[in-house]
Amino acid sequence: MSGAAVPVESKNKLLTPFNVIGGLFVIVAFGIAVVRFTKGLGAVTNLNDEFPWGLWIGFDVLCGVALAAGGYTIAAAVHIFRLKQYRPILRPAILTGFLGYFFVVIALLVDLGRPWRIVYPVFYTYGVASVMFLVAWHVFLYLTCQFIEFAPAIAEWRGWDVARRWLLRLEIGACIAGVILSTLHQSALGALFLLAPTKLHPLWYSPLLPMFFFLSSIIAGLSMVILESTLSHRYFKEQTDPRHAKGLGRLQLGLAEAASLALLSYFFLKWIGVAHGLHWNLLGTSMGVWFLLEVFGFILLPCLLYAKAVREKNVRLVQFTSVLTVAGIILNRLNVSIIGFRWDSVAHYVPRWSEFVITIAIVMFAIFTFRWIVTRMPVLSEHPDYKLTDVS
Amino acid sequence: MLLSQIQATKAVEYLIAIAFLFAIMLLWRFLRAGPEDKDSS
Repeated sequence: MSGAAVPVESKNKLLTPFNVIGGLFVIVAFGIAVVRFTKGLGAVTNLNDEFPWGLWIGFDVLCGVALAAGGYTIAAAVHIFRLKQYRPILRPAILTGFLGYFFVVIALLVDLGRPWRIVYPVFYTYGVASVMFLVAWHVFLYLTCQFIEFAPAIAEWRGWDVARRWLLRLEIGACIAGVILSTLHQSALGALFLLAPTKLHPLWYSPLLPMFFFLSSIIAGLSMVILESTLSHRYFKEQTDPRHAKGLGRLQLGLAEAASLALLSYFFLKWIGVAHGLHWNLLGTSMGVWFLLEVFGFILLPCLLYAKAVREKNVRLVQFTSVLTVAGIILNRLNVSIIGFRWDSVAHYVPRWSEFVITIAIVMFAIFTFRWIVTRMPVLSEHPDYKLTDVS
Repeated sequence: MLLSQIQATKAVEYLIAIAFLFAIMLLWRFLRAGPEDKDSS
């Protein structure tokens, strides 16, 4: 048998500080959700008619979708661009993407209320004139695609040979459909804000918003895969194939190179946006300084740091830069959806503590689910009975 | 006035696009000029 690690269930203690704190957040969030569903949004949030979208849309949905982009990015690299060397990080990337989208839907259920109506845009009343229709269908279809892409791992875990064979045949189709859907709906989330030209600060509002969202999602996806693989190899050593662990640095350098090139493109595209709107005069305002901080500190700086890391083959620097880049993407989404939205309004939206608790609980729940899966299924290593590398 | 403003905007956009081409070329050369991978075969 090869040196592949067999997925083993973690023998760690249940009562770790992480589990206890995370569990407490989940319990408190459950109570808040009960109040939200029985008494409405106003009982647990600072949202109102002027600010109907808050932290749950700005962070849970917009950041969640962007940071889940690793799934389609790596799937495209492996299946479409035939970069087979990235195969070892494909399943963790798809799992992260799938869970990212799944918990985006959970967050949406809490935000929208009346959860039984979540299927309306798909099965009952379409509303084809709305960008929301596009987003709903894309998320629904893309979740299905990602489930199909990840399902062979479930089949291997349960030993379902026939199902695994069929699922592997569907994998390439699901991957292509997934990449198309992601391309469309990452940009569709940006297109949502095209509806609010007077509400969004001009430095963030641009006809290029869909392109900004799409391009930055590639950067977010690449950086999240670097970050997730770093953390996985640190905290799930038992489950990780030692051969994959050895080659991880080289894969991360390759991802960093792609991220550096994408960041430079994104940097220049942002300036095209400013030039297109003739908003040079706004750069001297306080919001302008905030914009410059985002563009130089969280786009150009990570671009240069990734480039330096690749040139010096400094994997540590790549891992550090991935954190900076992810922070930059989160900052951008919050700037578009909260900070720069109704920036000129007398009243300002500041999320209530209960909104933060729900958001943190959803992240914790996603981490717990990720851990539960990778300690059972062949995600960070190949199953000894099934050779994924044999499948093309 | 409006026409000249549109032309100026377009000119700036083209300048940014040209700057981007130079920058991406420089970045590419910078990335490729690193030390050889010792364990590549």
